[in-house]
Amino acid sequence: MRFFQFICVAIVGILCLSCNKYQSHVYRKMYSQVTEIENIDSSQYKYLKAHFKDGRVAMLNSWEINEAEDSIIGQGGMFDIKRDLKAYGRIGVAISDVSLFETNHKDFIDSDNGDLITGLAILTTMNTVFATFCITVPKACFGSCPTFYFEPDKDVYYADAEGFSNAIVPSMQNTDIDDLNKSSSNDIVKLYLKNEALETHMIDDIHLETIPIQEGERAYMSIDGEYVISGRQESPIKVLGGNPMNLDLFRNTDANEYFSTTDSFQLETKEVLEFQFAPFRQADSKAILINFRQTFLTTYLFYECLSLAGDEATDFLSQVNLSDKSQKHYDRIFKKLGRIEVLVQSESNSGWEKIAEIGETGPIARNTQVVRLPEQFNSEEQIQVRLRMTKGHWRIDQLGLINVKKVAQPTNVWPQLKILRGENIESKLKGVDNTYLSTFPGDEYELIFELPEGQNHQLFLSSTGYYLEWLRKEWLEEKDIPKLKKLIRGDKRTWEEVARDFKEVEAQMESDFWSSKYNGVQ
Amino acid sequence: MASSCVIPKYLPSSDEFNTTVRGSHVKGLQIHPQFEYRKIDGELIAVENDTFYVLDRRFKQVRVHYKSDLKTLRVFLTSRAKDLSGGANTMNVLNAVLPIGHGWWMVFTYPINWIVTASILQSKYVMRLNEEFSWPSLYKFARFPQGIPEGVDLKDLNEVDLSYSQ
Repeated sequence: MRFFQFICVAIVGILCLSCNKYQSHVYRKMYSQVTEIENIDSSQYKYLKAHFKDGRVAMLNSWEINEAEDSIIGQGGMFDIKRDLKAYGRIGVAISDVSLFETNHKDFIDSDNGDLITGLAILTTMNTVFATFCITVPKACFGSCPTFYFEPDKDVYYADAEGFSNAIVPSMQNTDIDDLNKSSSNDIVKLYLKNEALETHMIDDIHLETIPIQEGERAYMSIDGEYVISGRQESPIKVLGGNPMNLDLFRNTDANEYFSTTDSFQLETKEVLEFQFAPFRQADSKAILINFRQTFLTTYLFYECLSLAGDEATDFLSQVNLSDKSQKHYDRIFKKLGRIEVLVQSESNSGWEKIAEIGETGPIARNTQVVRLPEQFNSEEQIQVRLRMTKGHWRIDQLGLINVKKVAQPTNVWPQLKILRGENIESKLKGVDNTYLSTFPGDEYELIFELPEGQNHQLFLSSTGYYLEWLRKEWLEEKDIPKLKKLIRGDKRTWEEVARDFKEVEAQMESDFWSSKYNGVQ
Repeated sequence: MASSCVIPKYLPSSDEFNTTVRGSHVKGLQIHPQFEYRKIDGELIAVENDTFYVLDRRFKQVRVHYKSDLKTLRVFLTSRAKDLSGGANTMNVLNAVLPIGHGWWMVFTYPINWIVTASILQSKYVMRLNEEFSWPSLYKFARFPQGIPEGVDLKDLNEVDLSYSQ
C-alpha cells in the first residue's frame, strides 16, 4: 500500500473513532410537583436541582423531603442568577419558592472513552515507529550536506563539519571553510566523508588548510578569510541589559549552547544580547570569537519551499539556478531572517559600532569564526559586545575576546581518496576545476591527508561544490505555488502562517533532536 | 500544549456536568431575514414559546433568537477529552513531540498529528435538535428552564465567564 494511502486510511479510521457521541435527552427530567420526586431512587439520581421562581438555583446532594412536605433539606450550594455561589452547606429549600425540580440519571453519560484512547494509541504507535525509523536511518529523514568526521563510525548527529550547505543548485556552488576545532602533530590525518541524505553531492574540491602553531596558541579563521594566531582568550564576565542569562553557556565550545525560540507571529523578530569582557590590555589587536550554528528554522523553510513547489520543484530550482533574479528572490527568504550582527563599544568609543555580520547555513556542525576589531579598539581595556540576531535562528556555543598575535598563511593539503562505500572512481578533488566527485546517498570515503612534517597544525577544512536535493514524491501532493510566491515576496500573512507552523514544532524540536544524541564536539 | 488550545473550555467534564448550574452550551445557525446566516454560540439561558435566549460566547451578551429562523441547533453536554486519564495525556504529549523526530517528513506528519489530536480532544457529548429531541424538550437544558424569571434583567448576565476548569 502506498504511504499516503495508508496514512489516509489511518486518519479516517482514527477520526471515525473520535467522532462526537450523540446522547438522548431523556436522562434529564423535570418535575413541577414535589409529589413527583417523592419516589425517586436517590441512588440513581444523586443530585437534585431546585430552580427557584426568582432565578436562583439550589444544587443538592443527599436530599430529603421533610414530613410536612413543604421543604427539601440537603447538602449543597445555593447560586444566584449569575450562578455565583452564595451559600454552601446544609440548605433548606421552601417548595413554594421552587418553580421546577431537575434530576439527571447518574449513568447518563457512557464514561467509556475507549474509542478516544484507541485513536490516541494508534497515533502514538505510528509516531513512535516513524520516529524510531528516522533515528535509525537519519539520512532518510534529516537532510544534510556532505558531512565530515574524524571517526568513521559516527553519524550525522556527531558531524565535525558540513560542506556548502546553501549551495542547492550548480550556480550557487561555493567554497565553505570549516574550523575543525582540532590541531594535530601527526603526519597523517584521516577524515571520513559521507553522503547521509537523499541528495546528490557534487564535490569539486576538498582540502585541508593547515596553520602551524606553537604551544599555547590557537589559529582562527576571520570572516575576511584570513587566518590569525592568538595566544589569549577571555570569556564574557557580565551580561548587560538586564537579561538573566547563564554565562557558562558562552565560555567553551562544549555543546552547551545558548538559543532562544522564534516569535510566534513574526519570524524575523530580533533579539539582542550584550556582554562585557574582562579588562584586556596587553594585546595590540583584538578580535571577537564566536562559535555558532543555525537552528532548524532554515532547514524547515527550505523544505517548506520545495514542498510548496510540488511537481514544479525542479522548475523552481532551475529558475534559481539560471536566473539571477530568481536567485535573489530565493535569497530574500533567508535574508529576511538575516545573520548575526556583531556590534562593539568601549569606554572611549561609546555608542555601538557594527563591525560585522556573520553566519553560515546549516544546523549540524558548529562554525568558529573571529571578527577583528577596528584599530581604535586596540588600546581599549573594557570591551562590550552586542549580538543582534533573529530570535530562534541561531545557537551560540562560545563567545570570546582574543588577542591577535599575527596573521598566518595556510598550507593547503589535498587528500588521497579511499572508497569505503560508493562508486569506484579516481579522485577528482584537487583544485576547483569543474571536475566533480559525485556522491550518492550512503556513499562513504576516507580522505587521507599527509601534513607537513615536524610541527603542530591547526586544521581547517575547505570544501567546494553544490548539491541536488532528491525530490520526494510525497512533496508533489503538497503543491501550493501561490503560497510559495507569497512566501518569496515576503507576504506578511504567509510569513505569519509559517511562523505559527514552525512555532508548533519548535519547542521540543531542538532539545529532543540533539540532547539525546549529541555529546559534544572535538 | 496542544490540549490547552483545543479542548473546549466552555464545556464541563462529566463530573462537573453533574453539578453544573448553568445552561448547556448550544451552537447553531439561524437564517435571519436581514442578516442571512447568523451563528449561535453560547450558553442556553431560557426557552419560551417561539424564542430562546443565548448568552453569546463571542459578544458576551444575551441575544434573543427566533424558533422560526432556526436552521440547525446542537446542544453540547460535556467535553470527552476532559475525562481522559493520565495515560491518554501522556500520549498527547508524546504525539506533540514525536513528529520532531520525523525529520523533513514532519512537514506532513505534524499537520496530520494536529488534525487527528484536535479531533480527538474536541470530541463531545452532543444532542442535535431533531424529531426525537424536539423543541418542547429544549427548555430542560437552559439555565432558567422555568423561563426568564420575573425581575431578572438579562443585562445582568452579560460579561459572565463561560469557561469551566480544564
